[in-house]
Order: sequence, then C-alpha cells, then structure tokens
Amino acid sequence: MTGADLAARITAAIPDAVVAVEESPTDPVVQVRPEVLHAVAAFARQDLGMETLRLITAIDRPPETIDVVWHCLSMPQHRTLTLKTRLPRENPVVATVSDLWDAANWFEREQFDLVGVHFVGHPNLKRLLMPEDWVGHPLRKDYQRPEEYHGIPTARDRVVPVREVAPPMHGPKAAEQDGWMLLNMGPHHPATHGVLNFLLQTDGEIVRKATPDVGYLHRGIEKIAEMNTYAGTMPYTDRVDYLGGMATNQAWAMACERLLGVEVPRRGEFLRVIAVELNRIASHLIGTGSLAMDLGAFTPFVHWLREREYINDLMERICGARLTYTYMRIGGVARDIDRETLDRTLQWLDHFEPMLGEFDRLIGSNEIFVNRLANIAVMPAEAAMSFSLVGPNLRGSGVRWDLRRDEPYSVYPELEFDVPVGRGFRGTVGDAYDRFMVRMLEMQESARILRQAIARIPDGEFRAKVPRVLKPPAREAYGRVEAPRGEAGFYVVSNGTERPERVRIRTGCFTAMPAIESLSPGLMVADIIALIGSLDVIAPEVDR
Amino acid sequence: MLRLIAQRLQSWLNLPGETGAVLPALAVMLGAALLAFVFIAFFAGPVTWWERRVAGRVMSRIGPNRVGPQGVLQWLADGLKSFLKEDIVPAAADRPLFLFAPYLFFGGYMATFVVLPFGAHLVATDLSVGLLYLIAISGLVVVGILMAGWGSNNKWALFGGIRSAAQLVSYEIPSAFSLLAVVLATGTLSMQGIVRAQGGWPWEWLLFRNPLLFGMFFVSFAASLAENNRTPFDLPEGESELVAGYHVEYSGMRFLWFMFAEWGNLWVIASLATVGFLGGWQIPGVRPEVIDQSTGWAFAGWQALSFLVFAGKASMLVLFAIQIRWTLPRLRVDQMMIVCWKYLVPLALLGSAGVLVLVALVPEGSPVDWFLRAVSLGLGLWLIIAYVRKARAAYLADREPYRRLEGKDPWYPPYRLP
Amino acid sequence: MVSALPPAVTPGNPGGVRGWVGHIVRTASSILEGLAVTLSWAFRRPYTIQYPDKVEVPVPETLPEAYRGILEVDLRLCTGCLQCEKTCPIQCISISIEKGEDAVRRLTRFDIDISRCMYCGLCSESCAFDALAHSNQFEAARQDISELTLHFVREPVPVARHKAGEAPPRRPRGEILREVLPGLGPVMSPPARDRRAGQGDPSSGEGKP
Repeated sequence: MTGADLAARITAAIPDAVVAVEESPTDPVVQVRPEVLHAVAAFARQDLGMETLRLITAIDRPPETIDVVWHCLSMPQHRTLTLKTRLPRENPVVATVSDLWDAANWFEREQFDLVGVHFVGHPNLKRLLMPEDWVGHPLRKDYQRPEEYHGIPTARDRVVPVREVAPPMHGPKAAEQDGWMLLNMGPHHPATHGVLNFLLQTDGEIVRKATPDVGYLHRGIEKIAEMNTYAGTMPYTDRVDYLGGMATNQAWAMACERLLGVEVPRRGEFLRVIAVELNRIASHLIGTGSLAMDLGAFTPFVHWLREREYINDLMERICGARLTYTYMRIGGVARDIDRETLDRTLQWLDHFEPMLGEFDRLIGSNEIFVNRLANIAVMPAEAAMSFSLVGPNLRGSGVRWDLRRDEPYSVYPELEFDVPVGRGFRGTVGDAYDRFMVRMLEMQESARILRQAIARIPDGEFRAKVPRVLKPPAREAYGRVEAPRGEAGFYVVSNGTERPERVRIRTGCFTAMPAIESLSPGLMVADIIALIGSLDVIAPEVDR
Repeated sequence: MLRLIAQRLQSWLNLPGETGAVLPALAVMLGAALLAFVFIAFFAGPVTWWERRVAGRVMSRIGPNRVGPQGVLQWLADGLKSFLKEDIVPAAADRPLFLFAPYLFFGGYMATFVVLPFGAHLVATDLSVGLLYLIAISGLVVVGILMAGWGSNNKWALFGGIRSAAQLVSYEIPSAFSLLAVVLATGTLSMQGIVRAQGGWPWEWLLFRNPLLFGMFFVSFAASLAENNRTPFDLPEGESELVAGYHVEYSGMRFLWFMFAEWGNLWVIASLATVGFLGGWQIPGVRPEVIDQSTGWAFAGWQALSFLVFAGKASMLVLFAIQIRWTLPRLRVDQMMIVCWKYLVPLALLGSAGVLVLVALVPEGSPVDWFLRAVSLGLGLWLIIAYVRKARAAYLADREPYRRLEGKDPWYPPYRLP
Repeated sequence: MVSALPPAVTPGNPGGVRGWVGHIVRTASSILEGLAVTLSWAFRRPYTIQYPDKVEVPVPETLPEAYRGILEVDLRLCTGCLQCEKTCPIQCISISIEKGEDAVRRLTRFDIDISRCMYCGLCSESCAFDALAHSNQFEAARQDISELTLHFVREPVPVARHKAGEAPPRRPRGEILREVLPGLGPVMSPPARDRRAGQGDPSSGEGKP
C-alpha cells in the first residue's frame, strides 16, 4: 500500500487530517495536522492494524518549527506508516499516544527530555536521560552546553580531582510507601550489565514495583552525529551497542546509502553478512552466558567467553579490532577478507556447533536453570508488540518477525535460514526460558548462514566508489537491520550539507526497559535478575 | 600485667580458688585455641586455593599458580593481604553486632572440630552425643549470619541474613533426619562409635549398606551443602543478586573470618559425610582393635595412616562439593524452600523409617543383607561409570574437530588450541 | 547439519507422586549431565595464556596484519595533505605546516593524542601515501595522560614529495612508535619494570634501537 492509499484511508475516516504525502518504497510518510494527531494514531492502531510503534522522533528545525515523526509498523501485514506533524517551535505541544502504544511512554519522555516537545496527557512526562534538574533540551539546535553541573565540569580539558566534587544524589526520592522496602538495584550491581539503576519496591523478597532509572551512560551519540560527517559517525555507531557493533555499523551504512543512493557491491554485502552473523553469535554468547551467570552458574559464562574469544580473534583478522569494529563503510566494508580467515571461521564453526550441545547439557537443560526461567516474566505476543519489543525478545513471545526475512535487505533473501520463535519450550510461550532458547537456536541459525555465505562469497569489489565528501540531498531515510538485540535503526534526516540534520537511533533495549517495569510486579528479587538477563539488556543501548 | 588480668578475670567471673590457678588455665586455653586455629587454618586455607584451581580448570582457565609451586601458598598470601587491609565499619552500622558477628560465625564453625574424628584416636573429645552436639553447635553459625546481616545496616545484607536464617533452620530438619538413619543403622550417637560400626572396605560402609542409606547419603549431602551456603544453595551470598549478601559491608580481617569459616565448613560437610557414610578413618583390611592394641611407633603409624584414609575420602567429597559449585546455578528462595519441605524432608523421613524397618528385619550378615549391599554397591558403580562415560564422551566430542586440523597451520596463538 | 540443541517442547509435568518422582529423577540426571561436562573440562587444556610475562611470543607479534593498534606516522612519507586531520571524527590529530624562507613546506607539528583516539582507522584509510598507519602496539599505559600525546615531529621536516611507486618502504610496524613513546610493553609495577629493563627482556621493547 502506497502513501497515497494510506492517506486516502485516513482522509476517509478523518477529513482534512492529511497535509502532505511523501512516497517512499520502504516508509511512506503521511503528514497530518497536529490537532488531529491522536485521532489519526488511534485510527492507524485500530483500523490500519499498526500494533507496533517503532519510534518517535522530534526534529528541531529552527527558526520556526519542530517536526515530530511516528514510525508505525504492522507486522502481520508487512506494512509501515510514518506519521509526521509540524509544531511551532515556541510552543511544541502535541497529544500523547501513550494510551495507544505502551512503547510511546518512554519515547515521548525521551523526546520531551532532549528536544522539549510536550506531549499532552502523558501520565509521567519527566526527564528520562538527563538529570531532572538539568536546564535546556540538548538536541535543540540553539542549545548551549553549561560549563558545569553541580561543580562537575562538562568538558574533558578541565580535570577536577574527584574529592573536590560533591555530586548531587540522583534518582527519584520515592518514599517507602505501604510498608514496602525501597531497594536500589544499581547503578553498580552485578546483574545490571552496565550502569543501570532499578528502584525496587519490595515486600520482603517479592517485588511490588521496579522502576528503571536510566541515563547513566547517556553519551549523546545523536548529538555527536549531528556535529560529525556521515563517514565520521561510523565509529560512534560501534559504541551504541558494544556487543553488536557490526549490526549498528550496518544500520548506519544502510541509512546513509539510502540517502545517497549508493549500491553496495555483492562481495561487500557478503562480507557484511559474514561479519554481522559472527557478531550476532558473539553477542548471543554474552547474552546467554551472562544470563547463566546471573542465575549463579559461573562456568557456562566463562565457556562462552572462550568461544567469543575465538570470534574476537577472527574479528581482529577481519576488521582489525576486537570490540569497536568500525568495519562497515558507506558503500561497502573497510577491508577485504582473506581465504585464511574464512577457513578459520569454518574450522571454528566445526568446533562451536557441538559446543552448543555441550552448553545445553551443562546449563540449558539443567533442571534448576529451567525452573528458574520457565513461566517467569511471561510476555504475551500482544503486549510484546505494543511494547515494541524486537529481536529475540519479540520472537520469544512467539511472533515470527525478523527483519532479515520480513524486510529483506543485503543478501539475506538468497540465504536459507529459519527464524526460531518461542514455543513454550519448558513452560509458557513468552517466558524467560523461551527468550533464552530463541537466542540459543539463533546462534545455530547464524552458524548455518555463515557456512552458506562463506561457500557462496563472490569475487569482485567489496566497496563502492563514493566521493570523499558526502553531501546527500535533503531527504530522510530509516536504515534498520536485525541486530543481535533486535532492530537497530538509524533514522537520518539530511539537509544537503556534510552533516546530518537529525539522527535518531532505535535500539532494542530501549523499549525493553518499560517492559521490565510492567513485568516486574509480583516477581521475586531473584526473578528480576532473570528477567533483565533474559531480555539481554545492556545499558549503553538504552542510553546511547 | 598478665597476673593483673587474671585477677580481674577471676573476680569478674567470681571464680573460686587461688589467683595463680587461673593463669595456667588461661594459658592452656589460649594455647589450645591457637593450636586449633592453626590446625583449622591448614584445613580451610589450602582448600581456597584448591577450589580456585579446580574452578579454573573447569572453566578452561589456569587458576592461581604464582605463589609457591603451582600456587599452593596462595591462601597465605590472601590471608596476609586481608590482614593488612583496613577494617571498615560503616558509620550507620550497629557497631557491637557488626564487630562481633564474624567471631560468632567462626566460633560456631570451630566448635564443630571438637567431635570430628580425623583418625583412630585423633579426636579432641569423643562425646557420647557427638552427632547431636555437631548438629546443635552448627546452629550458632546462623546467629552470626543474622547478626552480620542486621548489624551491617544494609538492605542487601539484611536480605542475606534473613535468607540464611530461613535456609539454615529449614535444612536442619532433612539433615538431622538423614543422619538419624545413620544413628538407627549404627545404634550410637558417638562419632567414633559410628565409624567403628562400619568397616574399611566399601561394602562395609553405611553408604553401601542398603539402597535406602545410599539415597540418604545424597539427601544428607544436599542438606549440609544448604546448611553451609554452598551452591546451589548460596542464596545468602548470591553475588549476582545480593552482591555479597550478609558480608557485603565487611572488609579486611573480619571479612576473612567469614571466608575462613566458609571454606572450613566445606571440610566439616565432607568429614560429616565421611564419618556417617564412608566408613570414616577405617583402613581397609585392618580391624580397629588392631590399632587400639598397638603401642609406640606402630600406634603413631596407624594414626597417621587412618588420618590419611580419612583425609583422602574427605577431600574427594570436598572436590565433589567444589565441582557442584562450579556447575550448578542457584535456586530461588521459594524453590529453596520447596526443595527442602517438599522433597528433602519427605525423602529423609521415608528413608529413615525404611532404614529402621531394614535394621529391625534384616540381621547383619544374613543373605538378604548381602543382597542389599550388592544392590547398593552396584547402584554406586553404575552411577560412577555413567558419570565417567558421559565426561569421556564430552571430552572426545571436543577433540574431534581438532583432529581434522592436524597438519594444518595452527591458529594464532598456537597455544590456545586444546 | 544435525541440530545440537533439543528443540522439542517438553510436556508439562504430571502431578501427583509420578510427577514428584519424575522431578527428582530429572533433576538428578540433569545435574549428572552438567557434572560430567565440568569433569571433562578438568582434563582439557586451559585456553588462557598468562599475559603479560609468561607468553611464548609477545602478544603484539601475534596480532594480525589488520590489527588497529596505536597510530604511527612515517614522516618520510607524509606529504602534509592534512586528510587525516580532516577525517578524524574527534580531532585527535593536529598538524602544523610552515613554509620556510626557502619555500619548502615543513612539518613543524604532527601530534596524535592517543588517549582520545578511538582507533577507528578512518585516518589511516584516508592516507593515500601510507604514512599514517596503525601499528601492532597497544600496551601504552602511562601514569600521566599528557604523556599519551605523541609528538612525531622533533625538529621541522620537509614534507615528502614522492611519485607513486618511488616512496621508500615503510619502516617495520611499531618501530617509529618506540622512538616517540619509550617503554612500550605490558605495565608492571615499577620495581619489576626496572628489573626487566636491566635484563634487557626483548618483549619490553627497551634496549632496542
């Protein structure tokens, strides 16, 4: 269905709603009047079947307007709808859609925090990433960075000894209500995988409420990208998801290639697939291994780190780095791959595939492990879609949605692989064990993809010729790939210069955080850890 | 000075007798405590190194290997380091409780050594109610943990303390019941009596006396793992949930007391299981009477030999406990309770009742008795063979992919390949 | 390929005594499986190496050609095109070129702040003359962060003007770096480092030209 068709259906339901339509093969955009936004969104949700909200983006366009963009998706129909509205810059107010999609809650808070758009009717419109007493909205174009925050300098050049700084105590000072005990899980806690904070309100061991407190790792990559060139942003995309840098690399490269209209040579696409699938295995190794470690079994984690070390060695040969790959380039990849590396990859796969079985005997089918995960934190498919869960977390709930298959990109259509989904392996569909098992099965599928890709890799160029200075015309593109933690997307708006107007990063973990909040009541403290581990949340992806 | 202390002590405790009489008594007590401490240190210390080495190999790492040959002196280095560290007491802590808790914890553990028979006559005192004493005195540990958890004034520590109290109190029951089976089978509560009721050869052990006692061994072992907060029952510490549980606020030497007792407890678990089920120090083919009647160097030799037998059996069990720790994940709190009340307690009850029936009906040495021994011995052998075969299969499965690499250029660095 | 994982969906546990016994049996057998795996690992060779001092070959020498270590500049090859400075996303390269009285352009400054560098490889890729490249060195921990700004130019050097194919070959990887950043190698406590230096351990990099 094209943008015009969508616009026609919207107009039929709500007259005078549509202002303009932009056609695009992937994401048709319908611009609507801000007053009717909520009605249009409700129509899209209920009648057009858009049960997932991918992303909300606010774009500051001085001197007069702020654009707000909603990316909606219907998984069963394989159809997207991008709603856009234009608000006055002085008073950017628009109705909330958090009553329609659960995921909108945090998206709107983030955009309120960073761009300063007010979403009327939002239940809890507070700052998300920045401290609550921060002044200004960092992603506004005229934002001035303060020199210091409570005595802490914001620039690196001025180094202040730690003792001289008295940082304020952060976090909501929630009272201990109803006899519940307030427990700070984090920011430094062994199970939070990075610097995350959960405010637990517990009744003994039983958690009544877990409120995630994020922003500790907010580095403002979206802002950095606005100040950087298209090619120069590539290294930063590694840091968005430090375990799945290849996928975020590829998402950025794809977004820029769509802006520029660059075609990647076939060998380049195969190299990308090999690198990304290796990276996917590496990331799932950490995901499943650290889940086992969170549940108290240390050995499986170390075994998986060992396997990941082989991948790191391979990555070192492929791209020269072990963690921050920066392998992709706009139009291809940075280096060619040699036969030796491919042979070693195959040798390693021979070793690794039986290891999956060993891991399963060691921990995966261990009765204690199964009982810790089965029937815990069950996420029904409907809720998973409403929370915009992506990747293994969504598939664990039984929804067969994989961008590699459903929005085909690169050379994935030529490769044969299954999309494993949760089937209630040891309990209910969508429980923590299903999410774990989906990751395990995905590693196996990645190994299959790797074997096929290595067998079929063609000769030729690995990188298209692109000009040294990239100046895409003013348009927008949403490049997204299936990253280890679900959809990694870069929504890039260009303005005809060397630097992008706005970069918005969509990560899998950001939407998983509100899901934790909603799944937590009634769980035990130990289950919270299983829940965080099974969703495979890593903090830098949440904060970016 | 010393005399003054003695005087004070005497008047304070309101002891009768000459002042001078207290002083030697005090000295003897101190000396004995020191001796016991050194003795225990040699049990608890090396096992920390041993545990880390085993954990290393299990995780395809090396483990500590720098201090001394193969790192055997690592525990001394660690102890020295902890000793030199600052002892931090949180400002908001309940000071007396916080400061005293480690000593109570350690004391509870040290007191169990009184009745453990390490050899034919190597026992501090052979109480006639030794087993009962052991079960009772190990309850002291829970007071220490609770005090530490409460005194730290930290919610995570409190969680650890409360979990620990619930756990220890619950697991006392299956532990006591499974040991009751031992008492029923041997007819005595004295530790030496239990050992002497068994024999040196495996078919004379209580473990292989009948299939029910064979099962009771595992119940008892699981329950004592839980009593000593070992994985899979390490909920009071649970480093990925409670950070470190009840000892999260401790540092320096006080922290060391906890660790000391924890690893020393490993020996207590193993010794208890050895005494109760594995024939204790009994030397195969040597009747205890032979040892009793020997004199001089022969007597000393028998003592040493029986100690070695005991230590060998106990260290195998320690190894087993260590391996369990590095294999299994942790239970959840409610599951821990379920395992205790729904599985271990009924099993222990049924088992001890069954043992009572068997003891009453099957006289020792009768054909039925031998048949039961053969069955349980077969069961044990089958378990061990299945275990080793599975391990061998896993080993060979990993070897296979590397077989194919023979002759090819190895990966860098070459020493990483198995 | 045979699936290594059991994809079968297990049926729910039956209740009653059968379920109770079944649960015990399943738990015991799965624990036995796990113990067998860990036991087998006790007989396999450890994977880890004892970095930094007990390795057969110093780790930098085992790194592949592609490895992106600390940047180094071969000034004999640098034409002063400033491409690297422009490409760097974090401006950690700063180059000054002055034109002397003899109308020769001289490099007066070529600094790389390797404490800011994120080793992305964009600069070395943009260098058409292979003057700026990643070495295989990475062990450059220092007490003071200012020591990590590498000054490649000691005294002004005229920029290179080679034709394609005539340029002198690059010096071996890491050699230039040793001159600007002495004492490359794994960090040891000060006495240990002195002792190693005294013995002239080849892996410490000291005592080499």
